[in-house]
Amino acid sequence: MHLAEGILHFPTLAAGVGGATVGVAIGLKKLKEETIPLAALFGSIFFIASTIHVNVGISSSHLLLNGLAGLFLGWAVFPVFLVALTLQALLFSFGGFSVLGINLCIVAIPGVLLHYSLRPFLKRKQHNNKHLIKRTVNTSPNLTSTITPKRLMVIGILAGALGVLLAAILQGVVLAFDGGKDYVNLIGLIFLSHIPIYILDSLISSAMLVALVKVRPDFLKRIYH
Amino acid sequence: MAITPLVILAVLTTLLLLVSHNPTRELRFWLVGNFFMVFVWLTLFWQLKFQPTLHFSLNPQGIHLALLITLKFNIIFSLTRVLLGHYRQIELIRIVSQLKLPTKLVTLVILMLNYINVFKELKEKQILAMKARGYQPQWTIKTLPVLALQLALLLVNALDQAEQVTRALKARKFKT
Repeated sequence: MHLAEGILHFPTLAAGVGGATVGVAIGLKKLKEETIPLAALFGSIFFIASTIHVNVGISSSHLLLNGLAGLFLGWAVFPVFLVALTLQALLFSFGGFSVLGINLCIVAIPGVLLHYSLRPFLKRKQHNNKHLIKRTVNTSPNLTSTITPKRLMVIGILAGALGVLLAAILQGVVLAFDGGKDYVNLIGLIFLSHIPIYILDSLISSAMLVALVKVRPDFLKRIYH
Repeated sequence: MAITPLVILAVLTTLLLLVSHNPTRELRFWLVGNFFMVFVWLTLFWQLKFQPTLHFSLNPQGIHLALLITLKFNIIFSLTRVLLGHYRQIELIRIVSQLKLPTKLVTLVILMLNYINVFKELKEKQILAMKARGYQPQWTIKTLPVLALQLALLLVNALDQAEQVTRALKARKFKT
């Protein structure tokens, strides 16, 4: 999901830097001092997750998990992914420094969007649902809600799939804006090559969310305290 | 195509190989980096023509663009590796601390670098234990729950460690 160096022109790169700067500034402002260790921890876990490769035919795919990261971190996903992408560029040569801003916007904006669109579903009361599980999860100090594994699964699938899909759409928009019709085939190929990642990310995000709440019933409360 | 970019690229590549302690590692990075260039070439070197019949043909403009992008990429890549590729984690922490960045960001970088090291070791231990039990990550339905559980456990472990670190930092009067 990284755009490589050399492919974009200066105006696009500058726009990316501008967008990323605004995002990081908002993210840092919203990041409370006491939650920095938690954000750093999530960042490092998502960084480690991105180094796990799964063989797909002759190629291999790695996880992105930007949707899940956004769901947990909100705007803080910007500074967290800034550090993660910088380290990836430095340590593994994924992406690059000139495209850092645009790559950050591509992976972080879907995360922020999913945070605001999916987070309410992790909080909503569901007392009339007959498929309630026994486990009760306190998702906020004032709300005692019960979340079914099915609901968690759906939220995880949406976070994973939409996170990658929105990132791929953004990447396509950036390439179309920068290269016009020259990059039409490239955009199509990028979309197709990411199909395994849509599937992998959605299934992993879903299973991860369910497993987390199963192992740690108070997990969501700790995230959204 | 002007010869200057090729000369610059040749110089930078030679420099990279000279300053690198591990040329094989650099070659691997170069291959990973150039993976995107394969996409660029695959989509730019050809074109469809409709007259008189539908057929493929070479696209000189596309080839020129692909060549330009590949050269730009490789020059930036080599330059970055020559200038920044040799830094170790401890040096990165020192550099970041000295840059005039927001304190929250500096704290985030320092903590993330520390955590990544810890979790990398933890992940390697997990993978070793899983391999010892015959696990091989493949694109199958069996891999996914295992992978998800592996990450969930990493995260749970991480949450515990974060609490310990926060308490330790507070005990040492650490302030951002």
